[in-house]
Amino acid sequence: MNKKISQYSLRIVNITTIVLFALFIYGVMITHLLLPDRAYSSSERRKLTIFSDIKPASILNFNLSQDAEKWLLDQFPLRDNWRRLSAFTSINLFRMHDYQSVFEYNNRLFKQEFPLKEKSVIAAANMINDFTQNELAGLNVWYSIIPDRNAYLPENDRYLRMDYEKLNIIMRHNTSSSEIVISDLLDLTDYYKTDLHWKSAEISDVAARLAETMGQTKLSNQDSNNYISHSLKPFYGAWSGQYLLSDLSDELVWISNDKIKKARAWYHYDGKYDHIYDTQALANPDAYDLFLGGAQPLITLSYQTSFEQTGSNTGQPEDSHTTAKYDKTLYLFRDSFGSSLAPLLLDYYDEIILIDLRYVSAENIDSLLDFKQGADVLFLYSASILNNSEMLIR
Amino acid sequence: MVFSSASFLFFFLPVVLIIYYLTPQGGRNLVLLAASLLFYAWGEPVYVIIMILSSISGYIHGLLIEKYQEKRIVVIILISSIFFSAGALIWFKYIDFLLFSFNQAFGSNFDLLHLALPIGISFYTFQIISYTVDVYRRDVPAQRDFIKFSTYITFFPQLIAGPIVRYRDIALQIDNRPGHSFKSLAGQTFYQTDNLITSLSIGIERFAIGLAKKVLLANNFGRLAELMKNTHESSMLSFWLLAASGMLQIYFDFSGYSDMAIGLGRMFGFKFDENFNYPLIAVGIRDFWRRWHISLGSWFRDYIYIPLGGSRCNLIKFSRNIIIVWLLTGLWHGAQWNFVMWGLYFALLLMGERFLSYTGINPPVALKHFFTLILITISFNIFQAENAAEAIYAIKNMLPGSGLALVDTEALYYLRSYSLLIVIGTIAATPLPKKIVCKCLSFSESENMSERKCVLTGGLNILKPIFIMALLCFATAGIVDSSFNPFIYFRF
Repeated sequence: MNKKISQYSLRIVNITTIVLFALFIYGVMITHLLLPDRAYSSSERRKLTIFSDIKPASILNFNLSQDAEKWLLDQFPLRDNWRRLSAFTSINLFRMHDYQSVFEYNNRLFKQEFPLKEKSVIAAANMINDFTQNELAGLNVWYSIIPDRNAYLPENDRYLRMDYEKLNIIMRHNTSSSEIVISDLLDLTDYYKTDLHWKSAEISDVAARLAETMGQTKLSNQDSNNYISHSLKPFYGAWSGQYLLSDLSDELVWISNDKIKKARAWYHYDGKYDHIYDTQALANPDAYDLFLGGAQPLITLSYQTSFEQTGSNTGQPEDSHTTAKYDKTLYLFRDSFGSSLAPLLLDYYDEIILIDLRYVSAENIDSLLDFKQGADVLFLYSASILNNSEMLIR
Repeated sequence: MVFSSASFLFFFLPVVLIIYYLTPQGGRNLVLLAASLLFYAWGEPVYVIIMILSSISGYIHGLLIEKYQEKRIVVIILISSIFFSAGALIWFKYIDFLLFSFNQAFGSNFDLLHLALPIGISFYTFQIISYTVDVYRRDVPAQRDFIKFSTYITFFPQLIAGPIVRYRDIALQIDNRPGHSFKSLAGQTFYQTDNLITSLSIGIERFAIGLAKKVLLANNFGRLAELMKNTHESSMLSFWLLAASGMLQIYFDFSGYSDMAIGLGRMFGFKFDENFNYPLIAVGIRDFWRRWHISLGSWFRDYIYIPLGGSRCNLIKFSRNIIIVWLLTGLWHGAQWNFVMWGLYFALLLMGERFLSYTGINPPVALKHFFTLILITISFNIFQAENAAEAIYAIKNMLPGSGLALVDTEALYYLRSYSLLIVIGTIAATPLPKKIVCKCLSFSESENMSERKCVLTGGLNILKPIFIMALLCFATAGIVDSSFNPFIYFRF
């Protein structure tokens, strides 16, 4: 009798297994086919492969199967939830210390930057020297290193942390320019919890240190301390989408004063003027685009009276950036950190030219810019960029 | 196409399963053949022709061998069969290795051909050779139906990663397997539905376990091995971690694929032999090779080692046989000198083990486990190396006196980060989980099992489908996550 019950129970188990398996594989297949393709993943901040990207002509060179697999995975139903489950498996089940090199520590997300690549740092120092001796000859050249947030992590064995002190020493030994130290002005609270960047509202002292060390004082008739704050909440930084297990968020704060309001940014490659803060970009997948439009090779920030007259947002004023005369010019070689800092330097300079060497080569700069004698030059790079300097185009 | 891909799991498999079971019995082998060719052509659109030609060659040679079995010419037909099958394998897999070695030895300058290796060629070549040899030995009759023969050779579950299935083991299943109907003596038609349900269920369970082994364990150990291979600091610990994670990766990867192959076979009614039997608990090298890639080991035993004389001969001949077999075993795994080294390493260990058995020394079992594991772990540094020099370098750095520090920051971090996974992997590589599960879920065959126990085991059994689905979900998450590819402009 009991044996019969057992066999009956076993049969039920077998049928349940088959039914669940069938529901799972056929369910995913049908859902996948029925759901429309999504063009963009905001958590990964990238375009997704859509069905029309698959080229049937590529059947003979193996690309068909690869493209099809890419499409299937990119358009997988509930994709972010599956990715979240994978992150959960790594962190909560297998108790790994990081997931895709991102980890949570004291309610903040960090991305590992390890190890220190000495050759890369030396190459960055040599590049600065090379610029200083050639294109920038005769100008006042400085450099400053923005520490990663990881530099402020306490030293312990829970995570890998590169030797930031050694990075500073290598730069000092190999760079002929003067250094402006800003690390003492920063701590973890000056950075976002979910993003690698610093908060623009917390770095006016950094701007002051940089400008004053380069011998500048605040421009006259400015009441620049009267900053007005604006904010966006919640702001999910780059590591949020990558880590997926945390519900941490930030408040994106940007500050402005009269000078910043009246100043405009000239985007050389787009050929347009715009406000310093592009509030329309707050709707972008990365709201940090607010600061000077995200990835831009060459931007000039300046203040011109004609803006007040025209009230123009995007139109080109009468005296364009090429003809205006400015007493105080700063050439800022920078990465994305510079986008949020540069507006604050408008208190000290009436023209700031931002150059991102990741997107423009030295040859192109020569044809686009004529470096003004007497101007200041600042190489302002985060430690991560110096540690991966191969992305700087020389 | 690989089993751990979305295209296989959520499109190919569901479609093939439904077409297969909707097709009348007589057409099912044709469905499997068509599906297998599509499966292969999806990743190898050109080389599918090589596989078809090899199948035709095996089929014709099988028929000819059977036809001329009583005549002397049969030997020539057999040699021709081996020449055609092995010829394709040698051409595609070993020609560059031979040219390179020749250039190195004689200072010549022959250009390498850089041919892409057709996927699964090592497996289906060995299947064809075993078939023709078995027909020659009269172990099995030749298969006269080309569709059935090709289905055996190209059957997608075992096509790209084994196990190496002998024709004689599944000859009957090609005609009669669960889900097929049969006629009673009274002429009534019955369907083997009970067998079919059991077979499908076991197949799903086995497939899910294999998929989880591959995606959750092998892939993670692979990541650890990759990290240790590209470590910026080196220490003895990093080289041991590289070897151990590489060994666990290869074990779970390969045995996971075998599990999936066996599971898929069951879903279509085929029953393949086991290919792994917890090799990491072996108590000696010989024992290890009885448990690791069993179908390859038994192939070499039956078609090379025993015909050469096996172990029932004098010590010199025995050594010769061992060296030949392990040289070939090494080369089967890859056309590089480190694989030759790997094979010879095992040949030496086996000869040493044999010598030890002559001395009458019988170390305690725990010691045997320990030394076997250490020797196997070392062997995987040879296996994973890009070349012989790298293999020697890795082994040297695993040993004291290499001048390297005992530990380094990076290796220590990853040891800690992966510690639970290493523990899980180590336990999963033993029969312990299976024993526990079987103990919990087993149905007593005893008639006098108490009602309470019966209900309890029945209740526990209900958890089985949930466990299988959980494995599938976690593995699916890993598959989807493998496409994670963030655009991190703002990383800097």
